[in-house]
Amino acid sequence: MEQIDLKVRKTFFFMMARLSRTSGPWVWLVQYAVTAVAVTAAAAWGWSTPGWLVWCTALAFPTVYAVGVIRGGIPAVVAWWVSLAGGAVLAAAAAGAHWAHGRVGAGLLLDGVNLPYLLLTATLMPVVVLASVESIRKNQVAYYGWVLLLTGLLGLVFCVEDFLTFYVLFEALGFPMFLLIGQYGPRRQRVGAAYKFFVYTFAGSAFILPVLVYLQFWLGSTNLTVLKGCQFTEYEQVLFLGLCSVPFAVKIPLIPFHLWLPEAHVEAPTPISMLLAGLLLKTGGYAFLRFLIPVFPVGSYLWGPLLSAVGLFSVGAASLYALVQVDMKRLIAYASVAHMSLVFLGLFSGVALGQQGATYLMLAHGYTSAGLFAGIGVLYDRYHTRTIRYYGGVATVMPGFAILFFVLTLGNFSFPFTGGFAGEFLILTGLALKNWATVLLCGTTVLLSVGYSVWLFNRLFYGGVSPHLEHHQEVTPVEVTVLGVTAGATLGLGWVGGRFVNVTQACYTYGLTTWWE
Amino acid sequence: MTPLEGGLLVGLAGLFATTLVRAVRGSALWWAAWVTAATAATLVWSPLSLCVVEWYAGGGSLAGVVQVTYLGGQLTGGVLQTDLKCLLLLLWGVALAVYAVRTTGVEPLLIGVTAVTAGLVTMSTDNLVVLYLSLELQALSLYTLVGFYRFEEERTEAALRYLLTGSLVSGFMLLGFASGYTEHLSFYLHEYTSHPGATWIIGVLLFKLGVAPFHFWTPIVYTPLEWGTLALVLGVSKVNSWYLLVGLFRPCLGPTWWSLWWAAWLSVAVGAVGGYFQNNVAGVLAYSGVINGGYLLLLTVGGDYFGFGYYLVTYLWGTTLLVAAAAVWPVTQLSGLAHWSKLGILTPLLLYYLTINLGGLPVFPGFFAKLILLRGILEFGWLTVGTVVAASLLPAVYYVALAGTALFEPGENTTVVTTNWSPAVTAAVTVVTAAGFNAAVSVV
Repeated sequence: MEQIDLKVRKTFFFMMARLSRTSGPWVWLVQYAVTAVAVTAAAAWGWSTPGWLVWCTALAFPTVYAVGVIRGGIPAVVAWWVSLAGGAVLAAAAAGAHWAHGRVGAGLLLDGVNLPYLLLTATLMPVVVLASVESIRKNQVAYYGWVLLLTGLLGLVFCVEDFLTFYVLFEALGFPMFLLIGQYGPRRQRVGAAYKFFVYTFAGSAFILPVLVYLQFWLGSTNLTVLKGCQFTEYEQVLFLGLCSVPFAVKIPLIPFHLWLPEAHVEAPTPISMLLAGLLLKTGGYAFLRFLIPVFPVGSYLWGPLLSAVGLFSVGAASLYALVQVDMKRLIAYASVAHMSLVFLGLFSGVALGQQGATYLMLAHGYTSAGLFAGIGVLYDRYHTRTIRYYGGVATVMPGFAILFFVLTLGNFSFPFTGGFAGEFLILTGLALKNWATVLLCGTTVLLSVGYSVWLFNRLFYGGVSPHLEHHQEVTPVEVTVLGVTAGATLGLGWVGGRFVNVTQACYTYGLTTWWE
Repeated sequence: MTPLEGGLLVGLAGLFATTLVRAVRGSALWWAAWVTAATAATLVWSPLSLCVVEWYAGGGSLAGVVQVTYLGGQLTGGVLQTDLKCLLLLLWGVALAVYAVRTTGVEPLLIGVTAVTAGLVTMSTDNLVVLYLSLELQALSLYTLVGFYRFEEERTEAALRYLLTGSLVSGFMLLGFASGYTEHLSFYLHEYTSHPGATWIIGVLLFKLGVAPFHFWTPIVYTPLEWGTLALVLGVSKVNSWYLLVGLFRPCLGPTWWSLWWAAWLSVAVGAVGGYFQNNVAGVLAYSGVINGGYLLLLTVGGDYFGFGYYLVTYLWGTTLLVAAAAVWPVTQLSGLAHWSKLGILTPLLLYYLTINLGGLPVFPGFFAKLILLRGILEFGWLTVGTVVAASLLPAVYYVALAGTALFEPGENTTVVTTNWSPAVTAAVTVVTAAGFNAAVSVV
């Protein structure tokens, strides 16, 4: 920073960066909190982001960032401010929209189904940028541009009303992700992981293409409202739902479509793992909830038993896989597969409660998994290994970090008063209304998640300090902010599950499940 | 010969002569580029008839090139012909820019102009003698260009193979024309009531287009080429052959539709798999040409000429731009692309964009072309659609592998030859045309 010339020093972004330095190390957290309060106040006042502004976000984020950098701003600081402002725009759009039925401008739909996802994007985006500040060292200018483009696209993915537009945006998410994994991963194996990510997601997506062509060129529209009004034959429903399920099952991911995920998580840099687990996986579940189940209800009903069986297998297998991992990132990746498989079961539970639980668990998992990956990043930055056996006694040298990681671990195995508990409780209750055997089998994942989460925490933090660990350093303010926001959200969501169920009840019952009962 | 054809020949002879004169005085490249650009601009924007093209009533703008509504107008002459002529000239403009990267000497440019001129003539006549001679002139120019650097053994061998196979199929073309003449005693195609030599003619066109089962020469010939000639043979030289297939010889397609159908499927299969075994960008693009040729044949058989026009323009323009973007690398070997740390990130990103565009992934014009392709073949049933979708997965993977080499292999210890070619030019052209193509798809 000292090398920056005088002209650059006078720029707005430099001043902001200076503020970040001179106002004390906690300024990041303060800025985040102030933005959150400001958005809440604006929403309470009645202000809502107009639809056209939401449409602009995908390109506006990287564009404003590029201008800031060209003007002499420091990439990380500019990206932080853009992400805060962008998050505020998306959060205000979500907060100002109607929970039951909220069309916002042309082609955008904001209601109880997608508002949680938009809020998740808005709140997690600055956290991801912040997590990058101290961990991304090379080629930062391009890196933040890709991250902001990705988050901008995610904001749109969760808003659009048109299925074809959704698919195009859903696919577009893969291109920056391919670059971020392939160029910024810490190890040489990142290239193979990037290819695997690309091949899996692209191969899965191909299945949906014939359906889109049929809908667009034979029916003349892929608008959600139009599609929900179409009288598809039983054959069409079964065929279309079967084909469309593949790309989203890959993205969730369900076993056996999951092989790209552990590789991508292990090889991606920490913030990208956060983005992947926290937001990208949610697009798959959201697609089922928003488009596939409402548009092809009979297909969902007929496919339900088979898909539920796959989900059930996926829950159990992923939990068992997690138990035997030696790499902590891979362990959390398999835990993500298990949680998202449970989400999948909730989606196909056939009752509003199960689907509300699915959304809630995705919301909770978004924060918790992002926080856990951030925690692993903290350890990797210090000790340069992710192999669990080299760790031990970290609580002795990093007690603050141990507390934050403990909260996130509680969320990971769905301890009561964490968001994960509320989500899983809703899903299991929804499933119990249909089939008790499924609930019992799903319940095993709760036990197994306790096993791998507690085992991981025990190995990392307790006992004597491992001789393999050197140069200890307690978490920095930036890291505390990242872990604090995610841990706070994990705990906070544990208390508002009932409120969530109440305000989204009408939307889920009316919009999604009338066919089922 | 009609006045239109005469005018065209005179105009192009002037173009050739101008380039030749300037070439003698030096600075040939930029004069050739200027003349080509001026001719293209005149063809595209002029409100007047130049006696070389038949203007569409609502045409006379660049929209004629990119808006698919115009591309399905009249199949023999008219809009399709006009648009493809403009496309040919625009592609030649890009090829010239690629030549500008590091070619020295004016001979390749003059030979290229000859090939372009001959190609334009083939699109402007239905006289079989003129057609045959211009096709031969174009082929001879291409043989010469392929073997131009005679001290490179690989190129000489490629040129020899190209010459031998090309000469053989020229004989078949002659046989097809002779069959027609024997029956109708006329050299003018519009006077024909039947097409006895259709199979020979269509077979030769398939050879020139490099689609299966006549694709075997393309990787051999393309692989040793430098970027400029590669841009010429991949893009420019194919426009007139496609025009002849769906335009002038459209009446011949009826009796041979089944052979086109099988050629299309074979091309899709061969192109999907063949690219995996290439270690050279040119080889990958050769098999890309095979599979995309298969798609275009499917659209031809299906009779979707709107889709055909959009797909052809998207594919040829995208391929030529890809070559233009890659031209900053000194060699065409895949391993040679690992230089981004020296070149800056823009060029590999451009290559990434253009490869995924060619792979037909979303957001980009290639994706909409793929949608239009699927729409065009929907009438053949879900099995056909599913097979095409499955086949399209494989090339996308090797396209991205190509971009991945450029993006993920820094190649820090290698030397990069400095060129006067700015990737920003290709980037600008790419962005503008992509926006145009994406806007045009809404018309469909």
